[in-house]
Amino acid sequence: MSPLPLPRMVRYTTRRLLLLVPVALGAAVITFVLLLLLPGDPAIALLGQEASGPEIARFRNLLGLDRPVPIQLGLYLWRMARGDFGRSITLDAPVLRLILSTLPATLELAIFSITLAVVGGIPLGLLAARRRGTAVDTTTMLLAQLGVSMPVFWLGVLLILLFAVKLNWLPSFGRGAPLVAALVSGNAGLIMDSLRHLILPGFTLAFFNLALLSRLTRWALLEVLEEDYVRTARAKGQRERIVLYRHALRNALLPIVTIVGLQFGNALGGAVVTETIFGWPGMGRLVVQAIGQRDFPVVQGAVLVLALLFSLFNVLVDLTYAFIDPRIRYG
Amino acid sequence: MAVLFVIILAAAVPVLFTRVNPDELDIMARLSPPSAGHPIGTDHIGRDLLSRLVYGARVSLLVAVASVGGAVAIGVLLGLLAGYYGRWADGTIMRLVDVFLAFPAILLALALVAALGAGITSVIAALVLVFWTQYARVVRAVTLAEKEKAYVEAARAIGAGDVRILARHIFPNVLSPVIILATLGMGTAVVAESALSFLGMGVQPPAPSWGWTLAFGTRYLRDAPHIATFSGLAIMATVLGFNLLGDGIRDLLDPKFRPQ
Repeated sequence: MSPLPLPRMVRYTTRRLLLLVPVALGAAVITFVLLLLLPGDPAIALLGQEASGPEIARFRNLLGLDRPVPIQLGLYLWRMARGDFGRSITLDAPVLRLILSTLPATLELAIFSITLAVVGGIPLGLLAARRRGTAVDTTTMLLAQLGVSMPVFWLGVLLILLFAVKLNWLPSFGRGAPLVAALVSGNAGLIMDSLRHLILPGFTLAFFNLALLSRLTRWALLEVLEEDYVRTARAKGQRERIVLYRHALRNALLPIVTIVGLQFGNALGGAVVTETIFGWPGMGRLVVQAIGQRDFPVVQGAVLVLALLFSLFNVLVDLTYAFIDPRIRYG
Repeated sequence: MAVLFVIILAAAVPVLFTRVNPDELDIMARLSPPSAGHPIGTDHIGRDLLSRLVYGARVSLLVAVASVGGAVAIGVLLGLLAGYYGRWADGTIMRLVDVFLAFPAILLALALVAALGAGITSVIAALVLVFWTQYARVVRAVTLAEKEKAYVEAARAIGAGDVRILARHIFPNVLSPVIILATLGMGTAVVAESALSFLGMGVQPPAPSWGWTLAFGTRYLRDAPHIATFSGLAIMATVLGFNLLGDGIRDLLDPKFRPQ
């Protein structure tokens, strides 16, 4: 299959990226509105009742809360556009610095979990499709059904109970050496340390997506296997293996790739709970801690950055359509 | 499906399953494993775990029904308007959908509850704001297709107004996908509420909540693993029940899935 002509691809990419601008603007407005939703005076709500009058006044001035709401919104959007997310109330550090220091950990966990989901889910779905109607198919789909029904946080707790508490095989808290740095260094000890800390939270985050992918792969493959060209290939005497991998699977890939891309974005959101359970020092845990400490500049900044990343990944998923299937026309 | 029926029955008539008050303390029996007196054990302050889970079903299902109901109401209305009127209405509503969909669901729900303050009302409001978009998109798509059909043109020709066309003709045709989505959405809402409670932002103690029970159970994994185990099992059984029910309704309503 050949990709769409370059000028058309460039036009489509440009249009999709430009569409991100109103979405980013809307997302920024929503994160601004979060502060307005705080009951009573936001300054008192954030500093606490014990804060003194001068402290409250200084804080209101700092966040622009003493100005009309439209002015506050305008100032807020202008600051966001310049990358100025303000300062953390509790840590007295630039919010952007906190976000950038925790983002790599979240990306590492998300990428690792998606890799696990793809490596486990697609082969399982393939197996179920090949053995359709057999005990293998039934068992695989039953496990997949349990997987999509199982709460992520419960799975994490069970894994901690088994592998950390009972067997003491794996750590239940914290992050080891950054995986990329460990791989680049080639130090086996560092790599093992990194992986040992990644396995439990990574599998916890991956399980739902793995189950979903296995169901989707099975469904997509069975749909494609009903097509005329597959029937023709079989009639021509092609081995089932060739029919499955060379003809059917390639065409079943489109919905699978779509879901994998979307799952990456979902992994960013799902990391909120997983990072909290495992003490993983990522953005999700940063958000939860900031909420607990009523550190709203951090909450606003982190939520906005995650939303922008989520939107960007969705755009990347859309753009991969043209590379996989040129029959899809972008009008 | 039988499990789901039992859970719904437990939420509706908890006395059928337990006579123990969910707030009744028995400090001497705290963290006890399952026994004759406490069929699935006790929690960290000696409350009967079975009673906490049975009454917790009421909380979880209440939040699920209210949040899905609210999301359906808003989503169906906006989806109908967007699909039927098109142009500026469609553009505005779909851009609003895009903005809300820019946020990972649990993150947006968490941030909203954090702003509104933890509690059952905030959780319901947050989940409504998170879930409405999927109904709006589906209903819009169906409305776009239905409004071009002959029966709508015929209705217009005999003088039916827009409201009548939307309510009497188009709305019944969007019901099938909405029912399927809503059923599956109930399971998602149960997990979301439990997740928010697990993170300390949902239903507040001493109200019985599966998420809170699981969160406390996590602290006592070594000494009392039954707390986390049974509370998680309750959540999973409920979600599984709704997922199977949703799959079954889809197979029934979608002609593609009906047996030939």
